[in-house]
Amino acid sequence: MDKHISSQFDTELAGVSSRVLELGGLVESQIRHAVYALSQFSVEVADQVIATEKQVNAMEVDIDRELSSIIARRQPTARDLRLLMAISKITGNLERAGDESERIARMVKLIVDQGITRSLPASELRISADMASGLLRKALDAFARLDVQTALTILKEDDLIDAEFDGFLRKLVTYMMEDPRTISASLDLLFVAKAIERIGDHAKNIAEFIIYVVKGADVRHTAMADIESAVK
Amino acid sequence: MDAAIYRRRKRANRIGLTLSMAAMALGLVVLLWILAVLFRNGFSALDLALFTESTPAPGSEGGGLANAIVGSLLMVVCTALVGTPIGIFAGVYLAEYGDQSKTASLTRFVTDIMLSAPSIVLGLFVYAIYVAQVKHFSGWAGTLALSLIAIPVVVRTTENMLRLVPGSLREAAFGLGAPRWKVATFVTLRAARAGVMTGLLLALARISGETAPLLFTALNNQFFSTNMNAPMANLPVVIFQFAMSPYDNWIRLAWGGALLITLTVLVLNIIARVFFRDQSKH
Amino acid sequence: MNTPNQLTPSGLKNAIEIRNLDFFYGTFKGLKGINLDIAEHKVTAFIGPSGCGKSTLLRTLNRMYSLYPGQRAEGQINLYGENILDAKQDLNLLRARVGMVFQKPTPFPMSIYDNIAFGVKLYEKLSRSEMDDRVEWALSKAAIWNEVKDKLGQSGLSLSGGQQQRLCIARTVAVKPKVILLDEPTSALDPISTAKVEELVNELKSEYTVAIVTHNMQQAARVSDYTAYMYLGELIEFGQTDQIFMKPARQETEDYITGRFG
Repeated sequence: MDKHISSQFDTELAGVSSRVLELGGLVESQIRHAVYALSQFSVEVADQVIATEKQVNAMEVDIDRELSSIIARRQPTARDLRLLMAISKITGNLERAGDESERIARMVKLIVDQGITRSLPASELRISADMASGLLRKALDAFARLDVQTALTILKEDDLIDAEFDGFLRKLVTYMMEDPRTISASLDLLFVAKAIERIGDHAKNIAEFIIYVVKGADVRHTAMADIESAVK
Repeated sequence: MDAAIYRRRKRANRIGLTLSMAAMALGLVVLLWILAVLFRNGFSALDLALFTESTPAPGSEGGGLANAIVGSLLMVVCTALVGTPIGIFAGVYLAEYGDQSKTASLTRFVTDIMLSAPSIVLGLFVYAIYVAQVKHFSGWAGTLALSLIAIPVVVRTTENMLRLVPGSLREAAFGLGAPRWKVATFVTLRAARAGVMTGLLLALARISGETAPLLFTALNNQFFSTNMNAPMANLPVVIFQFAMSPYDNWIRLAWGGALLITLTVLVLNIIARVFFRDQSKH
Repeated sequence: MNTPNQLTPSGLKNAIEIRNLDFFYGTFKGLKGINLDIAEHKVTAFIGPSGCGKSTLLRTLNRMYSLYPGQRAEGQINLYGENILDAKQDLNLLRARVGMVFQKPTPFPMSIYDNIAFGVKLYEKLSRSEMDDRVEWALSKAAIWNEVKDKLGQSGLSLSGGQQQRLCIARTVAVKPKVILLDEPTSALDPISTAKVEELVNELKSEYTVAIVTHNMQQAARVSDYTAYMYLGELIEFGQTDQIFMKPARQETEDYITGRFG
């Protein structure tokens, strides 16, 4: 991106952008740890995830404060304005993705407490969790480069995660119907699956904002075909 | 900071300041000296008789300068009446209408020449074209000669003062759809009125002391007269005549006249400056 | 020259239509092929760096340039259908229909009352009471009536800078022009006076068409309905203000408004 006449403004924008990417990295690691805790049913790692949450929240507040300051002082327009709006929304999305990881970690602890770590299709969750966290990484990466093409692929890949969730749901229902004693544990797993699906959604939102910044088109709640034509 | 440079600069400053003040002091001293001499010699002549009695016959006592004062006043007033409209109209034309035209350049050129023309030459000119033709001296001839001196001054100051009015003021008036003559008179001239008035006063102050042109045009008159068609008494010529005479009374009156003229010119200048200063406050 | 969004959307009546306007300062071409519509009862702002021609363009709209030899315009400027660049155009009448407020407040050296009355008297014959009403109306429209109603006889020069500028606006409004041109009207004013003038512009547009030149982009964004970005005598982009400041079509426009210029 071209430089502003005010190099101070450039520094401020670069600063807040890298803070967001920092937050993204933190949330990403939070998700990976949550997934690990899930697969290993490790209470220790789950606690780590819950502890990280404080840091994530603090960073969100920090970034928002910096954004307000820049907007007040610089009266940004056009591309700069869209970038700052996008950063604000992406920060929110990342914070909520962090919340989802925390939810997963708490679920893991609950499952371990209840001593029901026996044969549950938790490993399947592992796969979709990896997909979701990978998608989030891809989204952050695409944001750093403001890559619209990658953003489009991310939008499509989230559909896969949603499909995975639907599949998992059907499986769980079968389990519950076969053995009603697994209902409680299955429901716990369902919450985890939902959390993972939402992480994918947050990655999708980030991709939508990349398109907003670069093309100026707000493609939230828009059908894929319309998005593709808006991006051309 | 280099102390040597600073000291050198301070020294240069002090020298410059000293020289300036010395020059000013010199000017002031000379002015005060002139005023002092005038007062010393002329003050004794300042009495009521100076203003009520006409010039005395050679050798006689008493008398005053009434006819000369009235004569000068009449000619100055007539010059003002003639010269003001011509001068201001010409000034307005030069500033507002004829900026690029050849007529304007020519007018300015002629004005410049006349500004620096010796007044005696102008007096001789009027003598040649008018006085010699009608074969008598007159107050009108005197007025004509004084006008030729005053008008260029008025033209020049009017034009300069009008030019000082910012273009944005004119544009604002034009922007309302006003025709050029209304812009020139109601807006521009009005904005410059103090400066124009100053120019007028200064022109009048100048001509009230002119002697040479009156020598060939109005000449002089021993008696009290308000007939502009005949030779007219006037202060400068009277002073000229009396000062070089051997009669003490006349010399006394000459000093009185000189003091009177000087005071008049001084007062006119002061009025002009005070008036002008008010305008530039905003 | 490809200028996106150069004409206002249909449905809006145009007060002024500029077609292929070229402007010359002697041999220097100050405006190049301008095509633009100024919508009625809307505020159109002109922005751009120094020397881009925005003031030049504004001054063609009331043929103010005709005061100066060596400046000429070619093309067409249609004011409600009439081409004002026509040689037979009566300039004084034109300027009574297209008023102008300048950057530096220029009250006439007369009383406040006479300042307003001067323009009105040029083209209308009003009785004393009608003139009184008109003066009050104009000063109220300029949001300065309350401040000066007790001193109408005082010189216009006795007012503060912001008041003087509002007086000039009142003077322009008093002759009831169709279009009001504002050439950087708040550059010389303090922030509060600026805000008052901007508020005024907002109210004026319901009855007049307003064109404003400003080098303060935020002012253009606050005050106008349409914005034109100019550079080196050319119209680069023209469109609705929201559009220009959120998602301009041209990279040059975006570079300018985001301060990436140069």
